[in-house]
Amino acid sequence: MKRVIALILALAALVAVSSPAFGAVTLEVVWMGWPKNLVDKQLEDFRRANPDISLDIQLVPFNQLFQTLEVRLASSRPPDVFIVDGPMTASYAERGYLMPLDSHLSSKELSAWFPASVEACRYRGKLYTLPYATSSVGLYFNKDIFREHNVKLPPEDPGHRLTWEQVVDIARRLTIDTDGDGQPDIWGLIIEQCDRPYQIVPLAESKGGRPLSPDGTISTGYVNSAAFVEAASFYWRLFNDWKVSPKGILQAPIAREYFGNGKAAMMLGAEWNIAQLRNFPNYEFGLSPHPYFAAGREVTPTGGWHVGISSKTSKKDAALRFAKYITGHDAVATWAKLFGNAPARRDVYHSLNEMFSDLMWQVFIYEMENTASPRPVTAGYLEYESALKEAFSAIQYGADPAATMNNVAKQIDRELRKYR
Amino acid sequence: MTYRDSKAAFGFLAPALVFLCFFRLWPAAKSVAESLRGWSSAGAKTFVGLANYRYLFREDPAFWASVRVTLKYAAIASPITIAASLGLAFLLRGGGKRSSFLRTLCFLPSAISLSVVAIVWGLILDPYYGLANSILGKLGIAPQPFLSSPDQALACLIFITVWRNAGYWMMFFLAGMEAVPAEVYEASALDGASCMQQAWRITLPLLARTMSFVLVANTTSNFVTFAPVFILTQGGPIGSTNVLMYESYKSAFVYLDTGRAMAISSLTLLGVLALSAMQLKLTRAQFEH
Repeated sequence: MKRVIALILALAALVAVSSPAFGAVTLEVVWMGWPKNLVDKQLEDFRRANPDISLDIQLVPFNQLFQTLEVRLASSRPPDVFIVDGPMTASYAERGYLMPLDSHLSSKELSAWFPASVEACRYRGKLYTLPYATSSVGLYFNKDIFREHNVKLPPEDPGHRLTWEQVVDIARRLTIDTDGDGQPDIWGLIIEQCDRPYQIVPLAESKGGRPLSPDGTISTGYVNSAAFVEAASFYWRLFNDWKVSPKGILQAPIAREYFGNGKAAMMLGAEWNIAQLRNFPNYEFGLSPHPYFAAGREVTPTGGWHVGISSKTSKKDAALRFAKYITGHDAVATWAKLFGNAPARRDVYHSLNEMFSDLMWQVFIYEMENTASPRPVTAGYLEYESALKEAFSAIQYGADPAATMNNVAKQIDRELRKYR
Repeated sequence: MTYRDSKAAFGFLAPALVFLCFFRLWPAAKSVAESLRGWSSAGAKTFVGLANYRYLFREDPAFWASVRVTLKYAAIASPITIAASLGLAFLLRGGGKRSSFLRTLCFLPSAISLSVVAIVWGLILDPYYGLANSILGKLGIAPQPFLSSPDQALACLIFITVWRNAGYWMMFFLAGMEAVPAEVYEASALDGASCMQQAWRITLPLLARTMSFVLVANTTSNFVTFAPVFILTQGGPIGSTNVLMYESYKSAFVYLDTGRAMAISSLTLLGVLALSAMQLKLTRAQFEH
């Protein structure tokens, strides 16, 4: 009997040791809802190199990501590692959700990223997140639609851009009802993230507006300033007066489908569309730099994804290994090739020189170096963004721009008082 | 009832009571307690008494707009649902293969998860490429904006609610109708009562108890509706579908203002309790049949 028990124990031990999961820690990761096959491909190397870490990657769609993180981070068992939208760093750090990372990264490691990206990872002087990707926005256009309707193609070289006034002019010519049912079949302009401050606030900044007080706690006098109201009125006219943009297309992938399938002549969209538009081979696309208002400044959106480690994690080492891997050269380069996010690391631009010397990428690189305006730093970014998002959505559906911006300023001020 | 009987009754009720306490009463009490806390100017969470309620009543137009939307939604959706389910019950009562097949068909929508229902209807009602507008186009009717119009979105949500719930409440009415003794109908038929007279004078009055339950349960569920709003409209366009539960959710998980969120939930609970009590009182008089 004893011998049998010993044999069973020995076999069990052998099975345990030989399986890769022996003594494995499971790392819970909440990640952006990118296509699973691409994320898996990117993580292949990590899984191979770290058999002692098993990854539980939870992909959450963009529109649910922030609410999901709110609930998960406030719980007693938050995810060990999670994706952080750059400006949310302050909000999570203020509430103690993030582990400070200063002592875990050498200055050499930090110097791999763009200084502005590292700056966006700090809150009150401490490093809380690691940069994963940055971003930029430009005006994509469908060359076939332009040619078919004899409209001159917009400039495609860095720094030469249309004004918004010219864009509206073109959009009105290219909003076309082909079957005569009273509804456009081709829209002049679609905005990829059409109610998100990320893409809309730069309109107001081009008019000279500032998104928030310098200390990040006061919104009255900023989001309801003349510049913001003028930009909001312009936005209102796109949907309600000129009617060159479809209402209610609030999800980026759907906007991309419209544009990719020839249902919109132009799309204000981010840099990842260079790669994404390859899925639509029926049309030839071009990219013109981000428009600006004739009498205004040249301003473009920027900022991107970061990676944070929970302050409550009991698997600090594994979490650090994963965070460093996913923000490291190889993983970021793989992701740039797979999905097309702009890397926040200089070394990736060097090693993927061929990819980034493409004219479209040159446009975005020019913008990131010259015209990019980061989103405001405030511990209340979630509240700020959500309130503005609702306001832009209401304006799109026809609400009065001035009154809406006045109301939202008041609302944001109430929500931000907890950080004053 | 003897002491022993009541002890046994209590024993049978105990499991349900435990669940009720843990999953209903305790969270409700927690939410009332949380509604009395809020952010101090220094950024810490403290006891603030009735400050959240004071804010809602005195300086919160978003809350009042949401109250109006909820009342409008419940006031329109509840009677239509009840009328539709009662109508279906009258049409589909009795035996027979055909009516039992149709009953199943009517009940099916309520067997589908509300999220699935919302997503499917979202696709059908898409203003540019939805099935609904294609059908309207074939009939020569101009395309409608549906969920992307502040004037139509609430009506669309009400339609979806009625479509999904009518079959469910129909089952209660059918059960109620089964309970009416056949002799009553036979006696009235001998007296020469027509079908309409039977329905009006016999079935409806004897359904008073069922009606009372359906009225209260259906109104309550309409007051706390959330999923279709969350999935289809996120309270928009321009707040036209921003019902109280969604406003409360936003307050808690988007604006991180749990005090205000819990104050809204507590007031909703109070409102629903008061309304249910009133409905029960008004319908109780008819139980005496």
